[in-house]
Amino acid sequence: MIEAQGLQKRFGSKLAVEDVSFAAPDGCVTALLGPNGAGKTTSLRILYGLLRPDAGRAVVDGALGVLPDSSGLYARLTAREHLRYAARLQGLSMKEAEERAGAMIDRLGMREIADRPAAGFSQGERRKVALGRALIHDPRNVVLDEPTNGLDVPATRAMRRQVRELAEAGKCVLFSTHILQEVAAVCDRVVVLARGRVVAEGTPSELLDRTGQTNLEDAFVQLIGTEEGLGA
Amino acid sequence: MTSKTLAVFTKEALDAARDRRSLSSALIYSLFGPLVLALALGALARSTSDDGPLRLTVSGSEHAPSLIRYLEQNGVEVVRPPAPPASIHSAVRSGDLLMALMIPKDYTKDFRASKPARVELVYDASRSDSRSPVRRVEALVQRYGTQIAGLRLAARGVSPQVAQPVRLAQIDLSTAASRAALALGTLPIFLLMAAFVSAMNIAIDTTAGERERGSLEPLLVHAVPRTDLVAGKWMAASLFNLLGMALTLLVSFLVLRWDRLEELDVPVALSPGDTLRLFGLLIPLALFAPALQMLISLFARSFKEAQTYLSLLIFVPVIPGFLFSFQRIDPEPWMRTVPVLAEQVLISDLLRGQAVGPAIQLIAAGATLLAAAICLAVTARMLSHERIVLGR
Repeated sequence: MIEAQGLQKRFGSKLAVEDVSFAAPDGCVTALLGPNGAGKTTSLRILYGLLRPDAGRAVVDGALGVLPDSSGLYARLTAREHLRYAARLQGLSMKEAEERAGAMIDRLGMREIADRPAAGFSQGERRKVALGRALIHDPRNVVLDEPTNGLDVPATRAMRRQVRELAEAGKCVLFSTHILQEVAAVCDRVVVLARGRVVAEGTPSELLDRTGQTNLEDAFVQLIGTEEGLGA
Repeated sequence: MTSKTLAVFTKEALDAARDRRSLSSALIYSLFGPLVLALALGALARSTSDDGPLRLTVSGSEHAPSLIRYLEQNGVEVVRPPAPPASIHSAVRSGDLLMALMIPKDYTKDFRASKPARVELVYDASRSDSRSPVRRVEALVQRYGTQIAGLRLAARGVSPQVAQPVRLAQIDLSTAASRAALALGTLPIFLLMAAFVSAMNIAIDTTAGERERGSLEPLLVHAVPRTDLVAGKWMAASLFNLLGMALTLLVSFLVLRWDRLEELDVPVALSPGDTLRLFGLLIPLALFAPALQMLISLFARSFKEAQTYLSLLIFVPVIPGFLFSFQRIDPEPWMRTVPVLAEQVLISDLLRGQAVGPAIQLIAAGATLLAAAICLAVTARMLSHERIVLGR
């Protein structure tokens, strides 16, 4: 489980996150939905420990895997070497790291690119390696920051399938997005973020009931108060 | 060393070894210093072969047989002009002839009448290779004149010494050895610079570069202790730095063994033992430089900016280097505790053959390693600062 309790974060004079509290339960995909600049990335960065909150705290029970905003691969390293490196950084032995890297290559369908340097990878291939790196230690909790951003249709579908599979395996999955379709396609629960605050939280149907709207798009626009910064 | 440090070290060393471009630039840099030294010493070897036979084109030699004999007795090989005397000027101007001595017809008449007999030395002063032979011919003709003057005075019953109220004796203590020492004085500078060259790119790549390509955040989310990360990166950079340093020393050693230098007749060669001792005293510096470079790179806003700072940093050792090599400063005790300066003093000591106690060497090594440790500790702390991590 991942829990945000009254998170607040200021950069200089700008209040990026004002008051964010929510819980993402196990066995479930929770989406952090909001327009660009709503404080999604900052909230996630606090949850995975890169930033310290000015107030509030983040609670994560157990191991955490993170797919940050940028894939950030090393051009001269192969997919396998990336996975092996991540495994070693998680404290696995060399033998175990080798086995996990091989298993992850099979699981994410990366056999073709396994031993090629990352310099020539497509966006989708880069994101696959980054996802494999985040999952290499089989964490109970997974945070993904806009995982489908910049991917083409097949890669997006593959990524969504991976996200669903994680939740079905009982993991706690939290991912941020500004794309409405994505919420409808993969989410069990939604946390709606606007201007650094949580404006609504619940299952998609609960949000429809609360707003009295018949489709999700209208519901979100009503909750956020604007259409700006949302992607269809 | 933790297993995570080892993982970071392995990855960074592998990554750097595949980076052909920065590897080859580091290689060229480490060869640069010794090659400059080779050129300087080679030029020196050529210029000291002054005392060999000197070929001198003389026109009108038939007018002055005794002068010609004097020149020949003093190691000058007199050559007849290939062309008529009128074209000698143009031959010198065009560079076909280095210089020529012209003896006019009137020489015999004036000489017999005890009048100053004119001889002309034709040369091009803008040619630097003419300077030394011209001086030699000038001095020989001058000495011949003094000898004749002495004979003439003696024939008239006057002591030749009367005509020489002052005698300037030039005692040039600069020997080939001391000039070679001057050229060798550049060796410490190149060695100190080498410590700041080989690891430069990897120091930037693992810090500012890591942040710029967006791989720092994925790295930090693995919750690896920052000290482990910094230690692994530093060890990889240090490995390449030590290899570069070893290469620089090896090439310097080979250059100083070069046959040509035997003509210098000076002990410029580095013994294998001295070369190893030099390497030993440079190890702390080769470990300190990447630590400082990583710290500076982390503060830079971009890869390019880090590159600018570190290129300037290479020249830091040059300043004390020049002072010590060319000014003969006596080292003050405090200098032995300042990184870079301490190594400079130790290298000078070693090249001058001065024995230095182990305590002094340990203090120098300790001071430099302490500075390295401080840089690493600050770098590790910086990796917890949001501003540095996000590059704002």
